[in-house]
Amino acid sequence: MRGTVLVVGTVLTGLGLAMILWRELSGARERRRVGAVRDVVEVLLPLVAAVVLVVWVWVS
Amino acid sequence: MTSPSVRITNPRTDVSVVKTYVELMKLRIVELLLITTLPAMVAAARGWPGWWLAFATLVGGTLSSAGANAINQAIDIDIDRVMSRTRRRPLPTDRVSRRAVVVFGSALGGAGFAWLWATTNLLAATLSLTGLLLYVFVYSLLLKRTTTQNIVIGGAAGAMPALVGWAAVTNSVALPAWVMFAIVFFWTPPHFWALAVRYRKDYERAGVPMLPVVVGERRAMDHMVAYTVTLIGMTLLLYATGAVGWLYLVAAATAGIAFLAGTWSLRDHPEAAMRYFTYSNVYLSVVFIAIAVDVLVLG
Repeated sequence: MRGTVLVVGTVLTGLGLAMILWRELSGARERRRVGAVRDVVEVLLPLVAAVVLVVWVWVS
Repeated sequence: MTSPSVRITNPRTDVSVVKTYVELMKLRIVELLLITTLPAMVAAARGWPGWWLAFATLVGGTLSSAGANAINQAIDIDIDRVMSRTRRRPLPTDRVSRRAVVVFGSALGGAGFAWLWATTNLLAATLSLTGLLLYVFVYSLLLKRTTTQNIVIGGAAGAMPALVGWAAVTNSVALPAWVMFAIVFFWTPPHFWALAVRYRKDYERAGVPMLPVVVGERRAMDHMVAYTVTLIGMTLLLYATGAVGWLYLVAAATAGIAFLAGTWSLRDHPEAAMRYFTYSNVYLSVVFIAIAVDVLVLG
């Protein structure tokens, strides 16, 4: 049961993160109010942290 | 005969002064932060953590969060003056000085740190102080006025109580605590963007680049859907860590489906933004109460 939920949770999280990344990047020109480097860091930081967390759940 | 002139500029009673300072603490927001702290403690303890530890942690968390809220109002006084939602707060209405608010907020934050260190442990105290510093320096001063990612990154401050609760019990921060942190983190953007949809004109006037102000409501709501999908995934991952059981899973999955439906439907009904905002509070409460109930009932 936990294994199935782990897979479903991972798929949903991955899908959501991909949607966030796509939304942020596709609308970056309109959305961006700061420098490009800072914007990329601000967008990627939480997403990378979330990926690390998902990997941690799998490893544990 | 002329009577001596008497200037009554700002008549204040002791009660009104106390009310003003209580208002600065924004206890309704603190209440939500505490709703995430206690279930994290229950999950960490694998049962009731004890009345004293629960009380001590909630008091410390309240002091820290209230301190952050007060300092934030001292920073945002110009924004609060022009927004209809906030212009009746103590600072815009000149009921208290900015300096007094900074001193008050700092004292609360310092007291929260000292209290948590004395009654729980240094890690919990440090995490709580980190939440305050993130809110003040990263969210309020660095991000709020400059970037549409303000509430995304700033959400880390509001997610800290889950770590504080766990650390207060175990003097460590394990994987389930980080997943709870992530749940609050990914819940925050849809929650606050709903508020920004409702008060879009206000934020626009104040020059705060909330996402719905910058990219429009419809596109902001597409972002909200993406964050909600991630959030639901995270709530399922908490079950996968083994920290909670089937009772939590059923509650989180059901509430998650309802929350996603609400987010989706908001795209066609932006006028329901405040109802959605309220429901998002209920959603987070349901998820965290389910954590506590699950652990207490199933062990």
